[in-house]
Amino acid sequence: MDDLPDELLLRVFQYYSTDGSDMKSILTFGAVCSTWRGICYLRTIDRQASQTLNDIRMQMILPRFSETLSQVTLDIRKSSLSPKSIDLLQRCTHLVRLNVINVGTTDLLPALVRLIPKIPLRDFSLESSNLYPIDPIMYSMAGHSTLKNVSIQAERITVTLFSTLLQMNRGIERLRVGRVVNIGDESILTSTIESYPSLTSLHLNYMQLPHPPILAALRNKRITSLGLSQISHRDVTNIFLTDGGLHHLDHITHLSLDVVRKIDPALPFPLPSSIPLYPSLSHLEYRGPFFSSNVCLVLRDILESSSSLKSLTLIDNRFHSTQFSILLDGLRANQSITSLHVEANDVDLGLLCPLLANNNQLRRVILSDEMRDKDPHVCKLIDTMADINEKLQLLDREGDVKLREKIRRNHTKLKKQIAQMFERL
Amino acid sequence: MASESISVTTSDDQTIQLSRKHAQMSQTINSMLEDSVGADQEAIPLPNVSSEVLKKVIDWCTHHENDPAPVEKVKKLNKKREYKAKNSTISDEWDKNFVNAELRVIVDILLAANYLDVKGLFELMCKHIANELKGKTPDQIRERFGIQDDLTEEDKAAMRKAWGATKNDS
Repeated sequence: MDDLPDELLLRVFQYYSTDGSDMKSILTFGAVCSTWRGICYLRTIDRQASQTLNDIRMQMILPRFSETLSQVTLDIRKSSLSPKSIDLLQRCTHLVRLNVINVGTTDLLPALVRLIPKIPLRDFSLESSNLYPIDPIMYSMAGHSTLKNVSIQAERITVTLFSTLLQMNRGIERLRVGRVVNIGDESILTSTIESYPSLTSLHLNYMQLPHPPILAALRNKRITSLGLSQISHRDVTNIFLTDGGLHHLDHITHLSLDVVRKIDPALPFPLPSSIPLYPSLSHLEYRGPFFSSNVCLVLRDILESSSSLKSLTLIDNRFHSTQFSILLDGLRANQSITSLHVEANDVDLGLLCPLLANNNQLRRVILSDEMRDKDPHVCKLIDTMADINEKLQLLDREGDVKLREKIRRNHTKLKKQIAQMFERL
Repeated sequence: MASESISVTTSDDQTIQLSRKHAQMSQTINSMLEDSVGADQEAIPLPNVSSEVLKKVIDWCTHHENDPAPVEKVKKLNKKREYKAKNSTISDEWDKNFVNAELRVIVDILLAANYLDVKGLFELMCKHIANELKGKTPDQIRERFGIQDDLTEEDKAAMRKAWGATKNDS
């Protein structure tokens, strides 16, 4: 067994999962010898890093992997983290992705504020935060030279603070901000967005946000990916049918709309006449609590006429089979879509079978766990179809191909670090 | 027209003939064949595989020659957002007999399958070793696989601490 290279041993350990049932086995292997211990760290480190780190794991992992750890998730509510542990992360010279979840007004805030400027962050996200005021975190990002992707899902970000974030960091490429409130001078934000040099993707929570920033985003031709959440039907109409909106969408390749209120069937839906005209649109995502037949007819027309659309995501918990059948007509006629993501609890999964059996262009179909669990027999049939069709990947909601790619990339770095660790031992 | 059999030279200088179909089950040999299209048909050197092990590989290829090509499926995450482990069950009775060999031979076949890039055989060997490890203590694993214990007491204490942390989490 001494002849076995580390990578092969790692492949053997992949038959043991990193959940509770097999974790004991993996740790047992780690107690065999120093080589196996290193491999077991490889097997478990991704879980530990991409999930949550508590104090003990921090102390175990960081001394050995501070130079190779590239991403960390800190779940402040679930983990027993001390400020001292967060300070340890300052040693991580390659930490490019930091995801902080469930942070409230805690003792950890100063440590986070100390950490952010010290590491070469490329992606920073703050999720489910009750942090108020959010100012210290926002200011800690000021002038960060490597920061490209920022997602702040926190309450009550003022227009002024939002403007300041952009003005102090001119290299941000992708920005997602939740719950901007109109406190401050919105004209500064509008002009900042309109002329921002590097922004290519902007996702905003529409609720409470004044119109001008959205329209400014549409005028900035560098922004090719636009997401709007928490919008009502009236807002959609206003955005797309006002002078500033509709005809500025020619350059948009990714459009994500999250509609929160029921669409009134009596009102005209603004998309049908516009989306087929957008020659660049390749990704369309529509989330909402109610899908009317009218919307489905619109989407069917889009599918039938668009040759640029590659990806369609439809998420709606009251999306009925009759409406889905209308959409399927569009999907059958469409010749460009390769990725289909549907989450709709009321849809009869069996309706998908003829499409999957006859469609040669689909490469990826994502279905929610709820849909899959509802009808296991049909689900098994669809799984079989995916097995037969080598080009088709059938994924659940969390089936993240990128994650697998990341693990593969990280292995090389981690192996080097382990080799150095062995030399020291 | 391409010849129906391929000559390969093993690490112990044996020249062995194998059918093109079996040769093409190895991505490594397949690539070599594609690279040498139009060139003189010399024996393909396999410096990392002995004749004894290659014969085992050919046995396996013969039994599985009509199997569909393996498809690498994307691993799914379960609801806890953790990767599911690969299934380590060996269902084929012939395969069960095939892996009933000395550990030394198993490791050699695994190394050969990795070098030759025969996916099905590689997975089979990994599964077998994974099954061999199941339920064993560190001492039993060291004894079974002839591994020396080079961990310090400090290392072991750190591992015990980590065990406690994991147990509390789950």
